[in-house]
This record gives sequence, C-alpha cells and structure tokens, in this order.
Amino acid sequence: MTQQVVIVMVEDDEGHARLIEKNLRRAGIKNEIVPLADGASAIAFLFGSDGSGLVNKGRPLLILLDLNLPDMSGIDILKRIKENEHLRVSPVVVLTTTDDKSEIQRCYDLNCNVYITKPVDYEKFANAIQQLGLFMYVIQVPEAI
Amino acid sequence: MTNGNAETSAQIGVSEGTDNAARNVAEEALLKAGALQRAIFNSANFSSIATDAKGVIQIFNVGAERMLGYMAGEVMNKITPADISDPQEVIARAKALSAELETTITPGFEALVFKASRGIEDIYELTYIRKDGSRFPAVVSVTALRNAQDAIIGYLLIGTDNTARKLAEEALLKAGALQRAIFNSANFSSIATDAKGVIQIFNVGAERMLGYTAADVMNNITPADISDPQELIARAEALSVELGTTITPGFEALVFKASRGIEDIYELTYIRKDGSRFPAVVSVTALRDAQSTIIGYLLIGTDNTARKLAEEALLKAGALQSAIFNSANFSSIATDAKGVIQIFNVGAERMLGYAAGDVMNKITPADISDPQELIARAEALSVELGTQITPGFEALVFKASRGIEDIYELTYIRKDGSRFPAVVSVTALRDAQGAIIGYLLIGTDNTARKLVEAEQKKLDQRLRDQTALLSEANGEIQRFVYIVSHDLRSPLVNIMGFASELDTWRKQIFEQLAALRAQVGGEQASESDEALRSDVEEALSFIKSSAAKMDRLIGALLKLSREGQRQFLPQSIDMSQLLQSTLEALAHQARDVNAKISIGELPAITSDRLALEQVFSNLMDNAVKYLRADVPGSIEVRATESDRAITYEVRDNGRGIDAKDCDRIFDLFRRSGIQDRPGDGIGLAHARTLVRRLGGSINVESEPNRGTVFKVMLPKTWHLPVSEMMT
Repeated sequence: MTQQVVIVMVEDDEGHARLIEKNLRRAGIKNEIVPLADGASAIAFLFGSDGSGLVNKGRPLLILLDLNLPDMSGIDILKRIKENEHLRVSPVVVLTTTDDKSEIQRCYDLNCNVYITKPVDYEKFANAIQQLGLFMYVIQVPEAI
Repeated sequence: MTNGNAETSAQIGVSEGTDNAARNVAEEALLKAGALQRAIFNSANFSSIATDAKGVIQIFNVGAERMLGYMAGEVMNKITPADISDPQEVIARAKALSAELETTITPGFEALVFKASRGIEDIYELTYIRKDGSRFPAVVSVTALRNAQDAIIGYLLIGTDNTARKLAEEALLKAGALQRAIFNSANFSSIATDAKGVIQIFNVGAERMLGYTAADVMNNITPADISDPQELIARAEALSVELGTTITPGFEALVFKASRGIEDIYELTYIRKDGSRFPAVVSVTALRDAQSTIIGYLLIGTDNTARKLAEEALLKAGALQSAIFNSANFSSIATDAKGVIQIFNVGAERMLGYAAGDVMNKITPADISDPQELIARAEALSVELGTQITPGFEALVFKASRGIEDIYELTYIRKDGSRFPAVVSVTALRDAQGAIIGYLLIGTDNTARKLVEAEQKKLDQRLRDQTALLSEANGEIQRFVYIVSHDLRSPLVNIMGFASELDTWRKQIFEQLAALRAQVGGEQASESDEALRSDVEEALSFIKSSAAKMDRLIGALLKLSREGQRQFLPQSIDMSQLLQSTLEALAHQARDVNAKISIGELPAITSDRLALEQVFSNLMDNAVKYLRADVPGSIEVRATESDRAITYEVRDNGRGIDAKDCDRIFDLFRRSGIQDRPGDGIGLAHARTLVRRLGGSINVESEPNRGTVFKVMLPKTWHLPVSEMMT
C-alpha cells in the first residue's frame, strides 16, 4: 500500500481504536490513521461540509468501519459511501463485534469489501488485525474519483 | 187406488198376467243391478216396493214390512204406495211437479212416480204412514221398470227410514255455527248414523277422505264397515275390560262410550273405497231426541296422516331424535304440507309460550317468526335458487322441500310478543311414495349460545390483544438480549486486549527490573520480584479467564436469542435417522469412554428438524459426558406413542443428578454435581426453550449413581403458530 493512503478508522470505542492501531503498526503499517469516534464526524470527514464527498477527490482512502456507533448505524455510512460517486471506489473494511450472519450478508449486499469480526480472545483479535495490516500492505487502493 | 186382482194371493215368483210380468221384470232388473242392490233389496233397513205400471204393489220386501207394519200379503195387488203416504204431501208434491213440469199431475201415485216415468232420476223425502197410523220420514228413490221394448211396466220405490237423519240434522242445526262449519268442511269427515250405526249422513269431507260418495254408504253400511277390523276387535276388547261389560267388535265398539255419555275421542284407521288406509282422529257424540233417547251418533273425523307420518318419521329417526322431540329443550313443530301446525311438543310450548291447542290446525310456523327475517330470507333464497319464494311458510321450508338439508337461524316470537333467537333444522316429511306430507321444524333456543358467542368474541379479541402484546414484548426481549450482548462484548474486547497488552508489558517490566537490579548488583531482592511477578500474572490471568467466561456466556445468550428468532419449519422427520446421525457425531467420544449406545425403533414426527437435532444432540452429549468411570456406559433411546404425542426417552446409566437439582438444571447457566466437565450450563436451558416452542415438554428422572432418563414429549404433528405465520 502506497504511503499516501489514508486509513479512516470509524470506531466509537477508544480502547478498540487503540488496539487496532497498535496491531496495525505492529504489522508494519505506517500510513496516516484518522480516528473518528462517531457517525457525525465520520460523515463530515468523508463527505465534507457540502456532503458531496468532493472534499476527498483524488485521495486514496481505506475505511475501517464499526457498525455499532452511538449516533447512527455503520450500515448507513457504508450505504452512503458506496452510493457516493467519489467514494464508492474506496475499500471499506467492516470491523465489528457483530457476527450475525444476516448482518454480514447485508454489508456485502451494500458492497462492503471486507467484513471482519472482532474476537474477544485477544490473541485472535491481534492476529486478525495484523493479518488485515498485511493485507493492506499488498492491496492497491484507488484514489477517490 | 185399488186393483182388480185384489184377491190374487201374494205369491212372489208366480207369473200371472201383466202384474206378474211387472214383478218378473222387477226381479230381473234387481238381479241385473248386482249384488249391492240385491243386498239393499233384501235388507231390513230398506223398504223395497215394486208396483205395476198403474202403481199396484207387486213386491213388498222385509224392510217394507218392518218399517210400515204391513205384511206383504196385506198390500200386494191391493194398494198403491200413495195409499201409505201422507195425503197432504202427495197433494203438495203434485202441485209442485205440475208447476215445475208445466203439466197437470194428479195428487196420487202419479205424483210419486211421474219424474221416474219421464226418465228423470228421482229421490225425494216423503212421510209414510204405518199400518198403526204412526208416521215416519222416509227418503224414497224411484226407478221405472221397463220391458225389452222400453215400455214402462212398473216402478220400484226404495225407501229408507229418515228419522235418525232428520234428528241428526236437527241436532246439528242446534249445535251451532262452529259444528256446522266443521260439518260442511272438506277437512272433517262428518258421519251421522242412526241408533244402529247405519250411516245417514256422509258429508263432503267424508266423501273426500274416504273415497265413497254419500250414496255409496248412506243407509247401507255403518262406520265399522269402513274401519280397520283388527282395531275394532282390539278396541272392543280394551273397552270390555275397561268398562267391565262385553262389547262386540263392530259399530258398538266405536260408539259404546258415547252411548254411555262419556266423551270419546280416539284414533282409528279408516279404510277407503279403494282399500287404502289412513289414520283418523274420531270424535263421537250420541244424538238424542227430546226424551234423551239415543237416535243416532255423529262421528267427526280428521285425517291424521300428516301427524301420524310425522310421528312415525320421528320414531324411525331413533332414540336420539325422539329424545329431542320429547325434550323440553327442543321445540319440535310438525306441520302438514301447507304448513299448518299438527304437532307442537312440550319444548315448543315452553319456548314459545303457546299451548299446543293454541296453534294446532290454526297457524303455521311463519306466524310465530320475525316477519322482517322472513322477507329477508325469502329474498335471499329467491336470489340463491333463482325462483320466486314468498315471504311466508314457503321461505322457511323451501330448501327442505327441494331435498336440501336446511339449518338456519331465526327469531321466533313468543305468545307474549317477546323474541328469542333460535337455530332451526327443517326436514320434509314424506310418505312411502316420497310425496311431501308435511315438515318437521326442530328448534333450539340460541340465546345462550348467542351470548356465549358474544363473550367468546370478546375473549378472542382479548386473547389476540394479549398475544400481540406478548409477541411484542418477546420481540423486545430478543432485541434487548441481542443489543446488550453486543454492547457487552465491546468492553470485553478492551478488557481482554489491554490485559494481554499488560501481560506483554509485564514481561518487559520485569525483564527491565531484573536488568536494573543486575546493574545495581542486588541479589536478595529477586525473590520479592518473583513474588510480585506471580501476583501480577495471577491477577492478569483472572482478568483474562473471567473475560473469556463472560464472552462464552454472552455467546450463549446470543445463541439463545438467535434460536428464539429463528423461523421454525414443520416437516416430517425420521427420528431413528436423526438420532443415528447424532450418534455418529458422538461416536468418537463414546468410544473414548467405552459407552454402548442403542437406538430403538422411533416413530416419525412432524416438527422442526434443526431444533430436534439440537435437543437430542445435547441430551446425547450430556449422557456421554456424565457417565461413570467405574461401569461400562450404556445409553439407550426409545419412544412411547399416545394419541397425539410421542415421548422420546434418552436413558443412561451415568452418574445421575441429585433430586434437588432436577429442576435447576434446566435454568440458564446452572449445572449440577462435580464441575469436572467443560460446560456453561446452557445446553439444557436451550433444549427446554426449543421443546417448549415445539409445543412439548421435557423432564428428567434420575437416581444418583444409577442413571438418568430425560423424557421429551412432543406433539406428533406440530403446526406453525398463527403468531409466527404473521411474522
């Protein structure tokens, strides 16, 4: 993954955010990570003040998205991203505690790129995030159109 | 008028001159007239008088002798019938005939036979005068006797004593308008007899019902001759016993009670002219003269066929129907074909407030039904059946009359005007030829049922409301469990994560600490470092194991919540096969503990496959898990079947469950006995939830150190509950 790719981490739980960041760094990911703790700030960052997403035009973004947010459902954010003409190409990794099959199905239906469950077992958790880091390391992320 | 051959002896059969010729012809004519007339001629109840062309009596039979008091020899060849008739009447008759026929008729024998001589049938009333001067009214029928050339050679006058009839008519006149109406009605057979029973009057009703014309029977037979002989015998016997006197099985049996002044109404089978029979109800009255001497009897009968058939149909319909018919809880109303009520049972009396006598032979069931409903019913039926049906009795029985079974709701109106809802079942009553002779309407008071229905509706609504509330509450609980377990998981990720991070740092800290101590050269402190290290390690390990346990519990809650939300699907399941696959999944563990598992023939069931797989895999898993180490394990699955349910039993010879724990083990997170096997106390709670959702029950019987039997009772066929179909 090229150096300029910005990892946008939509995660309301600060502890989770720290653990994710820690493990990504352990995997050797050095990219900028933008932590966003609620839906509103995620929307503001991704779509800009005019809500068009034009603000991110030309930037390669990789979005880590938690589904359980205090002010809105991550599903709604996913939907908006994938319907947005600029952001729809940006990879979205859903990273959440929910392992409900219908929820997973719904996210893929809405064109999420990867769905990862956060295991409570930390060894597995750390392993999952580091694998994700390795994955990020090799994938090509397009710039927002 | 006398005859010149007055001294000729009266020798019937001796042919001499014209007079003898007339007699011969008369006798021949009588022969030809057949048996009936001969019977009349020889009967003591008829005066048969044959004359020659001039009126001189040639034959004077026994009836004439009896009625008139003359011997044949006293009148034959001596006088004419005019000589024994009331002279005033002969004069009056001559005058009337002269006027009627516009020719002068002399007031003598000519007046008696003129019409007959002109070929006109002639029957008239006449007062005869007996030898002793006394008089009696007679009805005389006159026939001209002709020879082969059709010339009149004499006359035959057949007379009957009309006294009884006259008196009967007088009595009837006195009896007033109602009886007159009955008498003239075609619906009542009114038969008046003389004192001996010989029929004197036979009204139109009697003609219609019995098929005889009045002339066939009048002065000819008695009512006993048209009654069932067996019944007469039976009636005579019964009366003989009842009244303590011998009564002959003839007319006497019919009128004996009436002759003793006892009111008498009874059932009787009349025989029609064509030999067919019908049941009648006969009311008998003795007719008396001014001196109270019986001069005859009046028998008024009604055709009882419709009623009899109704009763017979009821009898045939068996004990239940007859119980219904006699029950005060059912109104049984039988009508004739036109709807006129013939039977009105106690139930009908009780429900409708009318006495049977109020309605029988008077009104139809339509008269006691709600008129608006009749109109509506007639309209609906007209549309349904595509034919015009009038809003009266027809509307009530039309379907039944077409052979369609008919049960409907109707509002009856009581005598006091109050109303009640009834359910009425209508049946057409038919005779042996299938012709409808009436209808039977059996009704039940529907008031209670209507009330129950209304109450039921309320209850149903309440139940629906409650069910909706419950399923709403249930859904809320499911969502709650789902959300809570997710939200509980998030902090656990942190607890586990940072405990692990701490653990990593702990190692680094103590490594650095050891390095620092090495730098300062402290040796004895390393023991306290070791103690501190193990304390920290222990604390972190408690945090991690507790977090792991909490994760498992949350996982279990999630699983239960998901099972609760899963849509069950009833399908036919081969249970032997299902248990066999369960067994295969456990084969490895079973081998490890040296357990023998046997599965008997299990009846198939219609239920949710996945749920049953989970239930039985849990029970089998438990059975394998909690065997005793000291005895070879034996696990057995079998089933017992009842009407609607199957009970599957999973029986082991394992360690058993303490009696105090037998209820607890089905609670979530509860376990029993030594906790030496992995588990979180979820399996049985889960199994019970599933079994309950499938409309069954699960329970346990156990003896510590002997074994355990889990019994799962399930309905043979499980249907998706309505509340689940809607979701």
